[in-house]
Amino acid sequence: MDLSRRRFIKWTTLSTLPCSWRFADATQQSPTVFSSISTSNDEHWWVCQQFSQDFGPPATLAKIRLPARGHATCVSPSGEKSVLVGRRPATWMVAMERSFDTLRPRWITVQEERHFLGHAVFSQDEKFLYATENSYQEGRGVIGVYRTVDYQRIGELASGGIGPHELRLMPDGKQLMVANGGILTHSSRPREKLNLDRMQPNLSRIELSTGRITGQWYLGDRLLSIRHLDIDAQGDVWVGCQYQATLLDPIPLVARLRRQSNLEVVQATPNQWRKLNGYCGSVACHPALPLVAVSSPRGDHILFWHIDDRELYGMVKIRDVCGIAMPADRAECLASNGKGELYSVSLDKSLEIRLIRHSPLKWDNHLTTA
Amino acid sequence: MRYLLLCWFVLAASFSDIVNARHDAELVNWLNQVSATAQQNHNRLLQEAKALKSAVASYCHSQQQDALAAAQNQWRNLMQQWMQVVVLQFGPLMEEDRRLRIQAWPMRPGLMEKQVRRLLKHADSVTLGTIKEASVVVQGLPALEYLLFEKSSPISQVCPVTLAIADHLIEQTGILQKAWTGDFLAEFTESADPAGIENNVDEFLNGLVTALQQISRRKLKDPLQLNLNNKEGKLKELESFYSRNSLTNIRSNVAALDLYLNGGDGYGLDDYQQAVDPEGVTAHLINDQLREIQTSLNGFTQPLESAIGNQKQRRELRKLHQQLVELQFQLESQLFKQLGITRDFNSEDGD
Repeated sequence: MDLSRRRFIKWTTLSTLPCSWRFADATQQSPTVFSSISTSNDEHWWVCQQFSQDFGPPATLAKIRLPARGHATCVSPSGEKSVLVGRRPATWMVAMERSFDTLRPRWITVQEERHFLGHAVFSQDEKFLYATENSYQEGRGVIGVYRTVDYQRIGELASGGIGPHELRLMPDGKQLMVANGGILTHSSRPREKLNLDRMQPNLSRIELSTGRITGQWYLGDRLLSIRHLDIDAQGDVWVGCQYQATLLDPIPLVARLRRQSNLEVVQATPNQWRKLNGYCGSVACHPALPLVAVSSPRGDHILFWHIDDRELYGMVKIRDVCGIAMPADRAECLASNGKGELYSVSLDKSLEIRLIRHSPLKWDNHLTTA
Repeated sequence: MRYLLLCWFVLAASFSDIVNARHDAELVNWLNQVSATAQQNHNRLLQEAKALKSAVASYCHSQQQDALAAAQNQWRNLMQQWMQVVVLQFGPLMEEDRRLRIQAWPMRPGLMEKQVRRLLKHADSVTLGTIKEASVVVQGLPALEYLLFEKSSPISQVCPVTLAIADHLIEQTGILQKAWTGDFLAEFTESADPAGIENNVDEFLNGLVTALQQISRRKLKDPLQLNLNNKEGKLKELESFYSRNSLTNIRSNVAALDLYLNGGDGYGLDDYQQAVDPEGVTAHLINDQLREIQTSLNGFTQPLESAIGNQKQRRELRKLHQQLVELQFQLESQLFKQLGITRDFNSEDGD
């Protein structure tokens, strides 16, 4: 797959016509999709399904009953390990190995005076897991460090702000990028936002070997909570924000950290920004193609940007859409919603939408593929 | 035996088709009633917007106190009609920020006033075009309320700005009215396949519940700070504090919710219940809750703007808030389940 990916990047660099983006069928894997789901009876499950190449009916590889809604799944670089974090403020994460041994999911309980905040990421060598956590008595964000051999918590790093939500490992494997949403919460009032009048969201870069904050970036409007991020094929960081007040006039909600220097908002017209309705639910960069997708369940849209010029590439309307994933070997974006629908959006200029599956299960906020 | 089983399966499948077709036919009846009510309300909204423009023009022409009172009264009429429309939080209302263009709310205290004062400084050059290009904050009903009720600026400045905003409201309500008599109406009522019907019911009911959530949270809990004990309410966060109309707004919202759910004399939830599950209690529970809310609303003798500082009234307001929350719960847990639709899952209380 690496070889075909390199060849593909080279090809796309030469190509000026994105409408002909296509992977050879032989390079395509059968996508494995992870998500938390909920049933109409308010049961919550973590599911892992493998689809055929043409997205026929999937085989369920794992299905684990959850104590409450889950949030995001992270998969280790080799695909051997995966972890789902509970929805904030959560007291649990659950891990499983590639064998998808559903009989022995490994539950990870949060340390005292901490809460999980929804996302985690593996180290490059897969020996460690980093999870965003809230130290709610101190009112600060931390990154819990776990060794994956037994998922014991072995330490923590300062996140560089309050309310860290999503985090990613930089391509060098030595630094973390953390979206500190800036929102203070407390276990006694679980989903209440306690500091909207003085929040200071930021994007922080943490050096893993020392725990040092080596870079911090802010956006102009302090009510723009930086919540989600992903890293594109060139190593630039894309962030999606949520506006923490009623948004009256549309404002930019997506920004890119270019070569780790400036955090700059990307291009869209006011009418296009309106489609996000003040709320980015997920950010997903294609690992090979020069595209990034940002979903908004409140705006019922996915917007796509081209990473080279920060120009809007296109957008599609899907009701209640939030989960998005860009499988590395497909010129497609997968998208899920709370209506039980899973879509494929072709990444050629047509952005054609195809309903892959419809079931009574509600897909939760994030979709992960491996 | 094999043939008997085959016959049984065929009969069971046919019966299931008949039940589903009947269920869909009942939903179509309901959607038709909703669209008839929506059309009426949007027609009236446009008429009230035009009437406001006339009333403001008369006041600007005569500059008399009784003409101002008539314009203020017409603003209230328009607001009440808007409250009947704004609970339909789907379709054309949600396109192109139309809801915010007609009523930018809630907003930070002082924001609208500041921007209106800026417009007043250049009142001579303010036109419909100026308003269309301006922030939504000054495009609609809140700005008009401030201009008509606050009365702190000279009429020579107030009139051009007020007339331009009134024109803008005619334009926006006209777009809504046209959508509900044209393309969107066809989309909403003429869906022939079951998935389309279900989707329309889903959007309609999710829109109503979103509106209900806004009433309980934005119009009561947040401005009254009901989640914080011993805190006073924030007068300037009430929806229509310049006109002291905030409670009347809620009454109109609830009356509209009732009308869209139950269809008045036409087809509604109770008829649907009778047709598909006469023994079911969902419609009764929801309607009992609606009656309780209306009784509570009728019990208030003061505007919300006065009740906000009265401890006894605050207790009653807390009770009203709970009743609204309970109605939302019943709609989601009973009606949505019965209809097989889901509350917009990812769009609420997000992460």
